[in-house]
This record gives sequence, structure tokens and C-alpha cells, in this order.
Amino acid sequence: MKIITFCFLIFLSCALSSVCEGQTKFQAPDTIPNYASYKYVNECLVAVRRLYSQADLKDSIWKDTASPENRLDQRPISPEAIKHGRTCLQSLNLDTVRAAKRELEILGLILLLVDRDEDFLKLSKRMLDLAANEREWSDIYNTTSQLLSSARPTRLTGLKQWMEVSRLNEPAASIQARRLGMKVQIGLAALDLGEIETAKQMVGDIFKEIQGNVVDLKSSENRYYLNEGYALAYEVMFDEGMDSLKVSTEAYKQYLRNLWDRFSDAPFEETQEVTGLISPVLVGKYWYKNDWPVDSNGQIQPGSVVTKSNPEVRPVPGKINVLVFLGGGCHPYGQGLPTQYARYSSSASCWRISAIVKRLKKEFPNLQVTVLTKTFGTFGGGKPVDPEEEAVLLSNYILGFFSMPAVQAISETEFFRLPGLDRRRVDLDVQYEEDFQNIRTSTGIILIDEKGKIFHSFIHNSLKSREELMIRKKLSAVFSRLAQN
Amino acid sequence: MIEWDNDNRILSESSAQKVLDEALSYAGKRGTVKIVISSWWGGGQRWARNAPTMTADQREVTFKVERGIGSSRGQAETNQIDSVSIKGAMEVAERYALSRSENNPLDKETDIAHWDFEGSNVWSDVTYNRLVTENAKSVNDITHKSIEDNLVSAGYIGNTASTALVYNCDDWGRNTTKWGRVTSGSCSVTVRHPKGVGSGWAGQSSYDIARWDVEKVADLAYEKCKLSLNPVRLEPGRYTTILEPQAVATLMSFLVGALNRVPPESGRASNPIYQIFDSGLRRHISKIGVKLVDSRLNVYHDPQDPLVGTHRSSLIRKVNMITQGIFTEGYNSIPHEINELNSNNPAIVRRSYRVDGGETSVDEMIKSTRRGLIVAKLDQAMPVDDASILLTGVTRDGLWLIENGTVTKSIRNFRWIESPLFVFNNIEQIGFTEPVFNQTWFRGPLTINFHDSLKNVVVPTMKVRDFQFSSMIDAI
Repeated sequence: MKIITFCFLIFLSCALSSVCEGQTKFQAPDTIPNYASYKYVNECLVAVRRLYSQADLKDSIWKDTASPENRLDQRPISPEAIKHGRTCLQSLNLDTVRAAKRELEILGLILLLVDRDEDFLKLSKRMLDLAANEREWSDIYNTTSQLLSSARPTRLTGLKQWMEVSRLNEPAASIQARRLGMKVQIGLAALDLGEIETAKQMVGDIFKEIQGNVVDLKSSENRYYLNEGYALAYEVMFDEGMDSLKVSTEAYKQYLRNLWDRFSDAPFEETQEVTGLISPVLVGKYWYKNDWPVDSNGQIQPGSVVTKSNPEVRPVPGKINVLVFLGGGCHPYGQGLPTQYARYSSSASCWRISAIVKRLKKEFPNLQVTVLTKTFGTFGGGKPVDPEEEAVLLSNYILGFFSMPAVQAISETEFFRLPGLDRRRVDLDVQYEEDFQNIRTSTGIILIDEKGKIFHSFIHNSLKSREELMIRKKLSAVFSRLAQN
Repeated sequence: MIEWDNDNRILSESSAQKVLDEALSYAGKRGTVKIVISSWWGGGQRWARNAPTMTADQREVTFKVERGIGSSRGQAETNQIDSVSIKGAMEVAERYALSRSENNPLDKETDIAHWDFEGSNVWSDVTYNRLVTENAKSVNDITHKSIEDNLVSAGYIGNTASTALVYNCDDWGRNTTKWGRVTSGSCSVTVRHPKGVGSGWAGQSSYDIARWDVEKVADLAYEKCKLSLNPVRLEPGRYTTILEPQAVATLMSFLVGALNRVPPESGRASNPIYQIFDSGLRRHISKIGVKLVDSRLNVYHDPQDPLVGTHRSSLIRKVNMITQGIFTEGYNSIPHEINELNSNNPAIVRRSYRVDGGETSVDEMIKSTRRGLIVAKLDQAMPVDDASILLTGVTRDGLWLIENGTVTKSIRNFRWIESPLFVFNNIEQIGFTEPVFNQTWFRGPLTINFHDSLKNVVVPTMKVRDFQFSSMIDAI
């Protein structure tokens, strides 16, 4: 009887246990996380991270050949991880959250992906606080350069330092070389802090110094700060410029010319300003598109249905267009995805750009978005692929994974190999890089009006919230002009 | 009951598997687990001043476990493989994993991916079956002979066998179990005159000790000692020099170690094979395709070559590092290979290599030398300048003067300062190849990076011009 009971118990335990269902004992027990079992926020975050890793490694694109290191650097966050990230966020107080830095970074990326910008900023601030409290000054820079704009924390620090210096009231002669730059930096940092009046004051001071010949403009250092000062003035006086943009792109260009003339005796053309130039028609070998669906209320909703399309005429005549350059690649951590070069750069990431573009598309549904990318012979550190195959991967990544509401024009990069045994690949410029040679075509956004004229090209290395604000204002101005006409 | 291999020396595969099964039965169902069960046997004899100083018949078994829960890791290790110890180790590892803070990011694939030990062809029954008693007999013969000759000998004879079973269950649901075993043997004999006026050395290493003979190694050391007695002083300077294989290997290993494409092509200008930055191409150019050394030299690593090859991993292929003096292939990482070359066949160069030999005997080299030196060994080599691979060190255990085609006298040791790039461009004659003694020959339990510890080198004797000896040293 005892034996029968024992066997029954064994059978029962087997029936209830996953081990007896053919599953190996250690077969990734966390692949189906039960969040009820997690006691702490940290565990929840860790679970998201594990899913994140797992989702990527199951991706067959690069599984067989890429080095583990490379593979892990370039993984996307899976929808499953995002879903569980949301679950995490519900129980998370972003003002007080405390976790490992890398976990918080993942969390920040998830926040960006689900368009919770306010929370993203809140989390960034929390990360800064954590780093500052622990006196991990290198972490302040590293963390925030990945999550926030790269220059912000240094400017915040710089503002305090420079303010102190300015209070010392050194003789003008001894600090003349630094003076202009100091004011520019204070102004830019004040902009970051939202202290517009301080920024305006700095611009006013700079004008006075230039017009009063206090600043020696023959100095290369001062000329550098001159351009910086112009960028500051451009931002501080941005709203004035919008009135001109409501008239026409030409009027806006004239406004820029006037602003420049207040700054420098040098010709306006030296600035290589592209505003007012006609955009060339875009060329691409492979075309894909992702149309966001329209719901029953006539509102478009984010989504991703990537389809191959025929070559289109872009920029679309008579419409307001956004061109998004992602040829330099992008990266979940802000460093650059599918290219070998972007890996070493810290250009704006697809995360940030896609979030911005999606917000713009929601606000301005008639906006025509075109993403420009090019092939590199490999994708995400995976095995070599031919251009057609790479185009599919690129479109799935940009339009599919990021749900970019856009038409994607992919240029096939011509290249040659270094002679002899070296055999390394050297890419030639693709057509759009030649067409927009005055514009940095690695990563960024430009805006084109209904007549095909450029009225904005990016001014920052990485798209910052300030620049997004400017883009939004410019688009509002241009659309209001179109509505009036 | 664990079944050992004969004489309780190493674990058999089935025994290790039993230990593994038992360990897994103690593991919780959460998290990852990695277990390495390794066993090692080493039989060695060490002697000095004609008397045995150590007789070793060592055996060791190690059970290592690493548990991962969340993003933290816990490790435990024991050298007992009974049920209580294994269970204790599993529990300790899990407890550590649970108690540690979550600051170990779970972003690294375990090193199981680099495991290339499986299928290793470096197992020799002869090596494994050579017992300590046989080694002891050899030592006895050598010491008796040195006593008879009124010389002092010291050295080491040893052979080892190791096994490892590696189990890994990673975060992505993959369970892998790998098994491998290797043998190794080495012999090093130093014979000196009791008054310190002469010294001779010889050594050999191989996974298969049937490839060499202890007595012959010892005889060579005796001969060199006798020939090096009462060395005379000679002015330092540049001399035509016959480098014995051991000396060639010392220089060549620095050159082979530098043949890595990634640093120079990433812009490290201090790298010895960095050439130039091409501003037109916006590329850093390495010296690949450039003639680095004498056109008679071919340096390559062939995994199928039993004297240098150590594995059959599919990633590893024959790599021709230097062909006819031209730098043809260097180590290339997988990302560099894929991104820069769009190819998926990287050259993974190990530190084991072979250099093609010539057909000139040492006697012929001596006969054709009007005035020069023979160097048995270049010791204590260390880099002076990375960019030019400039090295310095001292000669040891045999340095002789050649005059008019005859070895005339033994010379006091020199400090040398030289670059392999210079030496191997000044080759006059190349002799027969020989496997050389490897001081870093693997001992102890296997690790995952087993092959990184191997330096199987087969090189020829060479006669070179203008080898620079910078100063004389007193040590013999």
C-alpha cells in the first residue's frame, strides 16, 4: 500500500511539475516571468533586462555568426520586454527609484519607446541625483549622455563654474579670450535650465561686446565662440524668427541674414546656411513604407506594417516634408546600429529620433516623413548580407521595430576594397550624401516646405529637446501659413 | 560511487557525468547554472645538485559551480566530489547569488562560446601511461652520470593528464555539456660545472612524450656544459650568429604576437605593424601585404599539424601569417572581419606556430662562418620599444665563438638588444626545424581558456648577420 501511495505521489508531482513535461530542468525558468513573485523593483527591472537579452539572442538574424559581444550590443528591446517594462513602471516611483545604473538605462529606453517623455526626463533627473549623491562624477556624464542630451550635464556644471568666474570680475583684458565663450556657455546652459531671461541677457552682452569692438574677432577662438553665440542668439530670439517663417521661407532666410549681420562683418554665406535651398529629389534603390493605420475616429495610430513599395517622388511636392538621415546608424544605447562606423560615434540614436518623429507625426498628421539609410554589407554585426537582404533588415528595424511612420529610401552603397591582402571595404558616398553635402547626413532631421525649400537643418550634434521644440514651432508656423493660403 | 580511471588518476567521462547529474539534482529551478568538473594528474620528478628534490604524483579533482539568479552571480568550489560536498557547493553558490546586490549586469554570454577544447587531438596514451617510477629511473640515470663526470645537474621531468566536463545552462534555455582531455609532457635538464665555469641546457615539450627521448635531451645538456667550460671574454658588438631553435623561438614569438590586424587598423600608431593613415581613404593602413622578414620565411598555424595544432574547432583554420616573408594574415577578430571585410572566416591565430625550415645543418653553418657566435638560448627577453619590437635579454646556457669554420672557444654571456624585424631580415642560412621547449607548458586543472596557455612552437636553426650584443655579463 505504501508503495502504491509513493508511486501515486511521484506521478502527481510529475504531473504538476514542468520538469516532467519534457522540459529540461534548467531551461530558462525566467522566460515566462511571474511578476507576482517578484518582491522588489530591482528584480522587476532585472527581469525586463533578461527578457531584453533573451529576445535578442533568439533573433536568428545574427545568431550564428556574430560575436556574443557584438550581438549583445545591438539588440532591440522586444515587445514582450516593453510590455513587462510597463508592468514594472506601474509600481515604480521615479522620484525615488534606486537600482543599478544599467537597469535604469534600460528603463529609460523603454520609457522613450512607449512615449512617456515626462517620466523619461524624471528618470534622467533621478539618475543624475543618484550619481551626484554617490559622487560618481564620471557616471554623471556617462549616464546622462546616453539618456539625456550629451552636453546638458557638463553645461549645468559649467554654468555654476563660469558664474563663479564671472563674479570674480577679472580685468577684461586678461579674460577677453574667454569672455565671449563664457557668456555663450552661460547662455546655453541657462537655456537648458529654462532661464530665458539669463540667456537673453547674455545675448545682449555678446551683441554689445561685438558692436563695441571689445572682442577681437581675428582670434580663431573668438570666431569659434562667435558661431556659438550666433546659435545661442538664434535660439533665444527664435520666436521672432517664426513670424518671418509664417510669411515665407525666403522671409525667414532674410531674418537669419539680419541676425547674422548683427553678429559679424563676414558675409552671411560663410555660415553655409542651407535654409532656402531647393532640396534635390531623393534617390534610393530600395523603398519601403510604414503607414500608420487610421482608427474609427479618423485618427492615425502608431503601428508598424512594413511593406515594400515602388520608388516615390520625395520630398512630396506641395507638402511639408521631414527628411530623417539615419545612414550613420543608430543604437539602443545611443551609439549606432547597423554600421561599422556608427559604432564608434555618439550621434543621436534612433530611439530619440523615432520618438521625436512619432510625436511630430501625431501632431502634424499631414507631415511626409522620409527616412534615408544606406547599406553596409552587414547588419547588426551579423554575417555578411547582400544589399537586398540588408534592405529588408534595415526596413524591419527602422520602420518595423521603431514604428517610424515613414517612407524609407535605402541607397545601395557602392564600395571598393583596398588592394592586395588588406581587402577592407571602403564605401563611396551615396547619392543623398552628395546631394546634401552641406548637411551632416549621418544622423539628423531636415524640414522642407511645400515648394521644396529647406527651412530647417539640424543644429545640434544630437537632437535635443530644445531642437525638437524649435522644429515643432517651425512646423506650426509653416502649417498655419498653409492653412491661411 | 565515483569511477575513476585506472589508478584513480583522472575522472572518466561517465564518472564526471554522474557527478554532474547529482549536482543538478541539488540545484534550484530558478536562474542559470554553470558547472566545471575537472580532474588532473601530474607525475613529476624535480632534482637539483644531483639529488632528487621532489617526486610528485599529484592528482586533483575540482568541482566548480556558478549560479546566476537575477543579475547576480554566486560561485563555489570544492575539491571533494562526494554527495555532501557537492550539495554544499550548490547551496553556497545559490546563497551567494541570492545575497549579492544586483550590480553584476547580466549582459555577458558565458565563456562557453569560446570553448574550443572539445575534439582536442592532444591526447597521448604513451604520455598518460608513463608512470612516476619511469621518470624516477630517468632522473637516477642522469644524476649518476653527472656524479661520475663531476658535474652538477638539475631539472624536471614530468607528464600530466587532465580532463574536464563543462556544463552550462544559460539564460536563453541552452544546455550544453562538453567533455575533453589532454596530456602534456616536458623535460628540462641543466648541467653545470661545480665551480660555475660552464653551463648547458636542453629541453623538450610535447603532448606526446614518445616524440622525444629523455636520455638524448640529457646528453645534449651534458655536451653543451662541457663545451661551455671556462668561457673567455669577448668584446660585445655585432656578430654573425647561429641561433638554435630555442633562441629563434624567443624572437619569433614576439613577432607572431604582434601580427594582429585590429589594433593598427583601428589607429594604434605605436603598433609594430601600423603603417600609415591614408587621409584619402580615411583608413589606417597596416603592414599586411608588406614584406616584413626574409623571403625564405613561412610562418603559419595549422590546426591539423600535431606538433602545433591543438584543436578541431570549426572556427579555426590554417592561418598563413607570413608567407615568403610577406605579412599575409594576422589575427582578425570576428567583428572586424565581418564589418571591414564582409567575410565570415576570421583568422584566429594562436600562439602556436611553425616556421618552415631549410636544409642546412648546424655543421654546415659553422663551416661557412669565418667569425661568429652560436647561441643556445636567449633568456629574459623583454620589450624595449613596442613599435619596432625592440627586445633585450641575455644569453644563457651556451655561447661559443666560431673562427674560420670551427668552434674555437666558449664565450662569457652577453646582454643582447635586438628586434626580430631586424634579425629575420638578416638571415644567411636556415636549418632543420625542431619543436622547442615551452616553459609555459600547461599544468594544472583545465580551464576554459585552455588553448591560450599553449605555445607549441616548431622553428628551425638560423644563421643571421649582425646580431647585436650590447654588453658582457658575468653570470654563467
